[in-house]
Amino acid sequence: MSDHELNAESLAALLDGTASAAEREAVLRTIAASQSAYAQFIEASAIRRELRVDDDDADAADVRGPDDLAARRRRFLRFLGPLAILAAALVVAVVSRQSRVANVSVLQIAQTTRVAGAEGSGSLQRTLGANWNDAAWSVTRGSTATRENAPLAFRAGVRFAQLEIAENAADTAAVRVVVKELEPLLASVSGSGPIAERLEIMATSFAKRTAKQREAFARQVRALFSATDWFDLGVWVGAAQVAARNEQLPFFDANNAPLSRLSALLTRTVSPSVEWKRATQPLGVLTQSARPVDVSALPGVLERLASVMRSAGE
Amino acid sequence: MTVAGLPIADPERAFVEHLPTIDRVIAIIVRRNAVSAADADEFASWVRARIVDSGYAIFQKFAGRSSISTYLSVVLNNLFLDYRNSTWGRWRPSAAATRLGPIGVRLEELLLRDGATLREAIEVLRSAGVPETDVEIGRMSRQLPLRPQASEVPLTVLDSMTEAVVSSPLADSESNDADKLALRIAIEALTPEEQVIMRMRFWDDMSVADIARVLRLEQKPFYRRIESIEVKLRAMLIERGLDRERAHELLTSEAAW
Repeated sequence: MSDHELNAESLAALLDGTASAAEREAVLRTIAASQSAYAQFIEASAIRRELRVDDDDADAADVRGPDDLAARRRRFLRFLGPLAILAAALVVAVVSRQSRVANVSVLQIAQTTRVAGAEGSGSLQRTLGANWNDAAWSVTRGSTATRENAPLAFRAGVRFAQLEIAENAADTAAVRVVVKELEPLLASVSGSGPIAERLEIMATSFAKRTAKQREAFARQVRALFSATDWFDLGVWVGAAQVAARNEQLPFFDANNAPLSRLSALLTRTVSPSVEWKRATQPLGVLTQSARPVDVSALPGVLERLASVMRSAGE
Repeated sequence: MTVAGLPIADPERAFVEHLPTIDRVIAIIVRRNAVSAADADEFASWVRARIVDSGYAIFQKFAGRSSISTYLSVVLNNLFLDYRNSTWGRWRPSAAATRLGPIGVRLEELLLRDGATLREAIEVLRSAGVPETDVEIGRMSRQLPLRPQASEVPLTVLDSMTEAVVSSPLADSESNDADKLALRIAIEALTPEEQVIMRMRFWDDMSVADIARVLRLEQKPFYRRIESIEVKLRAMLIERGLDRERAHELLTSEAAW
């Protein structure tokens, strides 16, 4: 159908790793000798990679297929429908707003944090200043990367929140900056290869992802760490720092999801370690204070967040 | 249902079955190449018509040696190149534009082939959804070689010109440069796979992990292997009188590849 130097299926087999040794050798010989064949190879590999990333996201988000879900729904309605609907109505009436907010995960808080007026490349920097994503931990005091490493999980959480917020603003420049910070944090954690690949795609060819894709990806990143509490803490602190810089007072209102989620996070650990207690101590005031945070209190909030970053990130 | 590893018995049915994949690959291609929404629709229709008119040839040719989605990625990208040549005229991007990726190639087309100003080119790219900032696009434009604006050249003439360039590795103005000759000799002494690896490493500046992933090589031993290829290449260049810095400079330059 088209006049190209490389046989399409041979190139596809090379990219899939299914080519025979002889076929692989022949394709590589053509790629090595011809600039256009090389360009064809590089571009096809990039398309294939994007296609596979989409597939992986869909697989992760839709563990149960739509048919399966539909069948379950039909069975449910036939046998338990009327009773369940009545019960659901009662639950809706009784359940307080507090329990609604408790269902919001820390990751979702980061995914829904938006900076007012920020839209497009460079918008976060323009709105919040050049230091919008500054981290208070010392760059020189990193420690060995392992799944259990609490500072590493915390730092990754902070950067992940910043990445989500940058994506919310469609700020490609910010996405690139944050990916650059996040990639080395994930690099030496085993199993992070596919995640790093996706981050690279986000940084080089930004395209807004669906909510499902974002949720699935967030879960995969979080799952890289055993210290998930520390990762969640990092996500919360990262989102809170941006919210404070953007003077988003509802973020720090005890009746809203972010602060409720922080309370739940701080009490989640049954036997908190000394490090956890020390790192989260400055946040206690936020959850216990009867007075809502006003604008004049935001510099103090930022200082508390910086203090948590120093303790937890080092 | 298409079964991996088997040829397709009913190409028409396979076409219908894989239409969603075809559309997804097209969406990726048009985004990567900064094609405007109108052109993207036209390209999608053109692809479908081409497949149907050919009697579903792409599916008939498929022998099941790869996954169908990777095969379609390759075939549709080839079709995009055909479409671009037939619609916008044949245009061979410079090596520098190729190195910048599809956006660089599109930018070069707009600036050099179509004679657009940088502002106009940015607007076209922006309307096609390119996320790069104006500053970044400006920076890319400065990396493109200065060339006289293209004029229509018959394809036969262009092909013969291209052949002449391809057949002589040193067809540029500095063809007598001994360093470049030494470099070409050294590169050609490597195996084809090693040449591709070195090109991905130096020219495209790809990470070792990415190269291993694309070429389906095991990552851990690959670090040692790439190191040994670099050592071998540098030794050959030093043997021919090039120092380490000059060798690296040449390897990352257009002359090498």
